[in-house]
Amino acid sequence: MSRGRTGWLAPARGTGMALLTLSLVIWASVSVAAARPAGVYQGRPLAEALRRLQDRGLTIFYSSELVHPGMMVRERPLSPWPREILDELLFPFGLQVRHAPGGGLLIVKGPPRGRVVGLVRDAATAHPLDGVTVTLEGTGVVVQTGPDGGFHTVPLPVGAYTIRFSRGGAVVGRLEHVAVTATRSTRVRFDVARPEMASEEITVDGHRSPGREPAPHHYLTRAQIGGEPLLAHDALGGFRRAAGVTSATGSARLSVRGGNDDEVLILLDGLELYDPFHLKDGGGSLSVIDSRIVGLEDYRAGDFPVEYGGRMSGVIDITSVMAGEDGLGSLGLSTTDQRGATQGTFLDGRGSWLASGRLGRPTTLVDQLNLDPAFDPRFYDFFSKARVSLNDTSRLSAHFLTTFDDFQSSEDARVTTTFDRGDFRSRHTSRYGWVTLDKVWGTRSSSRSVLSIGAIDDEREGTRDAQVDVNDVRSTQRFGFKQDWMLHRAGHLFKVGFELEKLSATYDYASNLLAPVVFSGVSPAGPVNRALNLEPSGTSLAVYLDDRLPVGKTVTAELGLRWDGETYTGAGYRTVSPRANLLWELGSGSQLRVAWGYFHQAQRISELQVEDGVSTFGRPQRAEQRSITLSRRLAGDLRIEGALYEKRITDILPRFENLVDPFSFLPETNPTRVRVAPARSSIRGLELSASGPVGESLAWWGHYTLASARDRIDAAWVPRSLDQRHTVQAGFRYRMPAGWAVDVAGGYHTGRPSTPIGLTEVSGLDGASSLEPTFGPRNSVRLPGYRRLDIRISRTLSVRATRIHVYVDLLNALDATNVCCVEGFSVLNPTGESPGIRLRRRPGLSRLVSAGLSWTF
Amino acid sequence: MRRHRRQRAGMLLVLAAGVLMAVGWFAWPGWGVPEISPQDPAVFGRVVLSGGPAWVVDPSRAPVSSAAPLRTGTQLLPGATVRTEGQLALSLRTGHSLRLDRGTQVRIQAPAAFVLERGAVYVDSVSPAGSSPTRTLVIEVAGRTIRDVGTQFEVRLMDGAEVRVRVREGAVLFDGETGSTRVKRGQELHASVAGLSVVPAPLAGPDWDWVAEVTPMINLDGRTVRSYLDWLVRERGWRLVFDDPGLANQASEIRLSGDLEGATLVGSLDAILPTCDLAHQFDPADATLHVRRAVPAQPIAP
Repeated sequence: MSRGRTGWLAPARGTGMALLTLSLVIWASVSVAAARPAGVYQGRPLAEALRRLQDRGLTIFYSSELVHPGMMVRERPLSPWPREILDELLFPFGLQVRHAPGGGLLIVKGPPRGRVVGLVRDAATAHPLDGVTVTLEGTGVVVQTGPDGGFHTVPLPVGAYTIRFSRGGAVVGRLEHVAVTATRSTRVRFDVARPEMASEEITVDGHRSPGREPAPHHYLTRAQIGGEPLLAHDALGGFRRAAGVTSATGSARLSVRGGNDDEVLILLDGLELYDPFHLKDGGGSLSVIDSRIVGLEDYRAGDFPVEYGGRMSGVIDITSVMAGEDGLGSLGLSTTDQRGATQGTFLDGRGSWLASGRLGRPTTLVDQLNLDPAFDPRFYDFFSKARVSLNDTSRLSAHFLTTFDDFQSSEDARVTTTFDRGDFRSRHTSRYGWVTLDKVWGTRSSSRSVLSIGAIDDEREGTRDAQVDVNDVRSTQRFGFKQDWMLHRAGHLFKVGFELEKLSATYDYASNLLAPVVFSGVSPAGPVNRALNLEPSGTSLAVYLDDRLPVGKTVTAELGLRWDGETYTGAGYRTVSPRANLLWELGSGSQLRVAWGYFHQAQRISELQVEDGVSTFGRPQRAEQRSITLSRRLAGDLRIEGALYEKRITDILPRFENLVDPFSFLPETNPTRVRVAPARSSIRGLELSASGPVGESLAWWGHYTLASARDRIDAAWVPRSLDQRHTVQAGFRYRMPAGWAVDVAGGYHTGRPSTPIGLTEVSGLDGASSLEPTFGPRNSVRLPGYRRLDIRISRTLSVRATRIHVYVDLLNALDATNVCCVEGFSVLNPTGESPGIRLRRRPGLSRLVSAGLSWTF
Repeated sequence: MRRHRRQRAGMLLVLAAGVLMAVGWFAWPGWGVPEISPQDPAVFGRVVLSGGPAWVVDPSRAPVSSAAPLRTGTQLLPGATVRTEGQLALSLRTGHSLRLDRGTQVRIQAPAAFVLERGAVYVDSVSPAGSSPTRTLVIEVAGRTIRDVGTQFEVRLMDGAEVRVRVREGAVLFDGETGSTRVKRGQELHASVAGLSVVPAPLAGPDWDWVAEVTPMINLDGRTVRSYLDWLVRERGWRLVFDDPGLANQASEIRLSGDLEGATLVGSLDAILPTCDLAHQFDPADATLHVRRAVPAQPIAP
């Protein structure tokens, strides 16, 4: 077997890098462990707490006159950052910090002060709201809520204050006459009703405005993601349970509202990631984003505004966790991966950094996904970021993400599926680095600039019984700059921006199929030798303009236009995507959203299907989407929502699918591979969902989807491969005393389409007849229905100042035999009296017990 | 193949461990940084505070650019000639604290003797740690010799021939053409070709400010505020008065914690007293530092 060109990281080097990275992370974590988190101070003398902060690097000077032995810290500081902890520790004693002339912090007596501590929630769902700007009017004090919805102010002079809450540039409410008393924390809670009324005000740090967008969207907070029973802490796993989302069994790739699984735009801290999945050759079972680095996930199923583009079905916009939200470091161990993370501050707290690494060798997962046990996948990913506030209006952050996968057959075993009998190996590496500058201009505008660079290397090679030889080496380089602006003028919120990327790729592909198995109508007529060497390069440019404006008192409209163009395709494709969203506040907590728009999806430079002989880029696909969403908030925080949607897709890029064994490791050599080239597609659906809390400790959710996803092929409507007629999902989370929690999620959907296989009598040239397997009409039968119940039981323990989280996941708890697909077949009695076909159906995930432990300090 | 892989993984682990150890070695406080030992009998002293450019020069070579710059921690050996453009504080092996004014040049003859060739030096025979010197310090200047007798004093060579010696505390012995003269606290001696005179001298004031500017800060951690104040007024030639009679005792009980990085003698008072809930007022007429309790902070209207 020939070896492909070495990528950025050879496997050994990759393993070494991973080891080194994890070692450094662990070392750094251990080194900061001595620093102790915020909770270590509670119940200890103030002087001791100050000494700990001195150990953590703060230069503190004080005397026994103001800090005497009788002073005990009674409250656990809310902030994890040393400088802020110091303020919190001193606050109850009427002390404050003054900067020494030559540097250092002096502890002196201060005037009587109090502070405000609060929680901001969505009034409809009771979910905590991240990114709400809290302004104490007339003081210059502005803070922002974290992913847990919480905020706290600096110590304030005693008195009465007016607190203003803003989101996305709009004031969403005020609390007046909030009394701040000396050495006390005044606690407030504010529930934001949605949609918020329009306002001309703009906040100093609201760059995005998810709260009052006419376009529907949903989000998951860090706390929600952390409680989900997720396979290997997959950050995208939670969305598989969202209404309108499906995925192939064993795959983390998401199919939104009947679209294909490559139609979802995935952003991490503002940067688009290309196919961010581990174990790609096993179907992409895990995303490269560890759920534990996620602060917030914003999910949009179609109908998204024009600042998002390039994909046509959905958007998942992930914001990584803010350094310091969850202790100073953590170590985690589970049955699928090992993980370490550390974080800290610099420049007296103006800057913060976070580094997180994960190593995985999910052999258990391979077993449970019923992949061949001969395969030995390994992966790692590493994410780091640093952020610094340059001044009151500017914030600079730098991010780095690298991932690596090595997926191979063992030396002693061979793959033994129907069509894959041989050796296989793949390596995938990706590296992204990007720098973001957030800037507020005056009081009415803000901008975000992102400079990015990325490189992706993919290698596959495999052989099969000396009949097939594949060697596939690809690489992609990206260099991009994008800028987004928000401008408030005369009641309008304008969003304008552009994204420019310089792209290049290399494809070095060769395959030899010497003696293909022949099926009538679906396989090559003879031996196939394919060699393609391509080096496309060029640019892509996107420009958008969006105007959100109030129409009367109860309607908000959003009108946007997006222009996309790519030169690397060689054809100069240009697309224009107009979109419109309307939000009508019906009163009594009811909202009606209407959306319409064009969504174009150009082939990425890395998506050329060279393995199937395609050497030119296709036209950008176009989806015209329309939807109506009605939501209502009822008593007891019960929220119900219904959505009707329709998607018409034209200029569809032909795709290649295997009728049998879709997860073949060398799919292009599968003899049942077919080219699917619909003239158009039609997708329609109805989504009904409800959620709500029951008391303080129980929250539940559920939804039902009726959908139809069809392709127009040869003047007939054919179900798409991921079509699910009926889908029901429901779950609940129950929190118990002593840190116990139970999360349950279950669902059922109609079986997916499959192509029938039968026997046909075929006459040979010699006049003799024989029975040969043949395929019936595409996707004309259905696999059995799919059922699954996942359970997580977890407990969080506080041990001294650290936190230990232990969980056990029971995935597919009922061990339902779900059929993934047909992976093979055999002909029974071909010359006997009762000939027939025996299908070998590949089961999906069988019952999987996964356990993990994490220690946060 | 597997064995080879294991070997490779093992090498990588060793490499990683080596990197970690190296990082830890240099990151750990005090590791990898050699301490300077001032007890070496051959050493004259070392630089403890640099308030501007200073060099060890070779007087036979005029360009300063050929000289070795002095930095905090630099050790000085007999035979060296030190020239300052800014101010410099030295801790001598004898236990003396020596400060050099701007534009000073001294030639070190022995571990306890040097020649003042230009500018001015200030000698404090009580080290910041409070210890007494082990040997008498001898200063030669313009053919005269000055020996300390447990003192704080300044020697300045004026116009290349006139020598001025001011004593702020204790006494010094001045050996000139006319014999030995004892200069006491609050006296100022002038020696020139015209003769020798001794007149009263102020203990504090602008003439002494340069000394305060180059006074190394003492270690405050664990020290009482009274101890700090005593040190301060001594260094400045001031008098300390507590406005409240009980405050003197209380000041002896208030203990300071932490250190002030970059703090100077001049600016330390404004930083340290508020941490003790104390305030101060300086009366320049009689060079007296008045210390009192701080006035309670008033609420600030929002």
